[in-house]
Amino acid sequence: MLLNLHERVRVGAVFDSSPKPVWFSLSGEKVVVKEICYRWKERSGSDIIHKYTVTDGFNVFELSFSAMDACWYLEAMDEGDGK
Amino acid sequence: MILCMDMDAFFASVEQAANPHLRGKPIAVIGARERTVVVTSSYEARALGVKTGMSKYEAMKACPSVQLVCASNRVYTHVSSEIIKYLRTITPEVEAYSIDEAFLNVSKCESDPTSIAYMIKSHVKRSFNVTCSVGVGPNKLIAKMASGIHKPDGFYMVESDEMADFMDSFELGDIWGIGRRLNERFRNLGIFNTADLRQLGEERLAEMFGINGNRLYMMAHGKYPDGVENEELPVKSIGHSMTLPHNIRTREEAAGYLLQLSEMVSARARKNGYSGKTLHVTIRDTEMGTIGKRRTFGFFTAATHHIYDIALSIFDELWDCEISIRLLGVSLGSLVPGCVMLSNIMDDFQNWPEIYDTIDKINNKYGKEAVSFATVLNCKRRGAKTISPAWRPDGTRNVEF
Repeated sequence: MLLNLHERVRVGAVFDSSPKPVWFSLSGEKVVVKEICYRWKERSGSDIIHKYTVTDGFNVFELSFSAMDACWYLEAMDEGDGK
Repeated sequence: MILCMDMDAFFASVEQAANPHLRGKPIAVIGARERTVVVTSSYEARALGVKTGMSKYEAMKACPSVQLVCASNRVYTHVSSEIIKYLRTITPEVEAYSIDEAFLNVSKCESDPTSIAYMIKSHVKRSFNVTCSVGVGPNKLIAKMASGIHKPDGFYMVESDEMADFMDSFELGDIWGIGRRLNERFRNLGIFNTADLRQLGEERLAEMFGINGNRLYMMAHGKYPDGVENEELPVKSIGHSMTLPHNIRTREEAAGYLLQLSEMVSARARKNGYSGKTLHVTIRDTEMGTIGKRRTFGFFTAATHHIYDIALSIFDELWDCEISIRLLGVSLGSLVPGCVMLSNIMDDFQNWPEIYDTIDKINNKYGKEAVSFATVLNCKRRGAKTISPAWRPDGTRNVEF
């Protein structure tokens, strides 16, 4: 089931040509990113939002990084068990 | 040679690539949560009877296991724009035909068309984890038809001397540019394929369809007059329509949506430097009947307040209070480029240009709709929700989501 969250989260990331999330915190627990499934960019005014879908091997999460605010958000989570 | 790249079940494939939980499953992409139809579906869903255009209830009836996914327009437009950017590194002669189709003129490229086709397919798969089918032919018609031969993830090439035979292998209704009505007309005449069309002769076709008859005769030989349009042709109109989240029965509610649509049209006209002097308003009722009316006015404008005033006046003439409204549309036509008229001598208030300039500056910095008209806040649905077939990655036909 897809849960829309838009919660600010702590993220450990490697900043190479574009930021690459490695782990993030969820309800006080560290979730290690096993795979970045998809990445794209969205424009919000003059801000560029880097978006990712990532998986820890079980659930799929959508993360976003605002280049202007330098903040990470957990946008959504898919536990994959429903429609 | 011309190459046609056609993405395979594009929106559904992107959803499956982005979410491993959806891979290998029947999924249908729908426009929005409420009042929507299937925009596209995965090959797994198609095999189980899900078709584009079905309501979500019809889709679930046809295939109870189908997973409905709301369209992620910003992802699709990003992927499409990136693919077009890549294609332009191969040749500058690229025509973005729609969000998931492009034509390339590869005649001046050093590599052969087959190598280019496989290079594109490999890049698309590697970069976006989706597949595309590529057709190659001497013109756009042949390339387009060839791209559908081995879908998905296909490749097919037609040489110049195979064009007529290749076209004869299709039923008329399956040919690009021959719609349902035209096909029905031909069927009633006992014409079922391009060989029959050729036999009918150019003169007879021209008698029946005028200049389109000559075009159809050429198409029957596998010839096509239009080349790859790598530069945007001037647009004839700028319009937006919106299927409403619920049926509307009051003028007040309709006025809110008309204002929103007028601002969307005006914002695009301002951004791309156009003004127009005709306005068309469309109303679709709950029985899917559509009525519309066009009005030409005595000045050019790109201003929301002018467009809205005229749209509301046309709406009042068109709308019978008994009709429940399902969809509203506003389109500005008779456009002139390089001219953004935001006020005229008839306006009581003369500072509109400064106001629009400020709105645009704020929205450019903080995002579209950061500032808009307060009445628009009453609308439950705001902003463009569906990707029009006319969408392009840049230029006037580009709409941000």
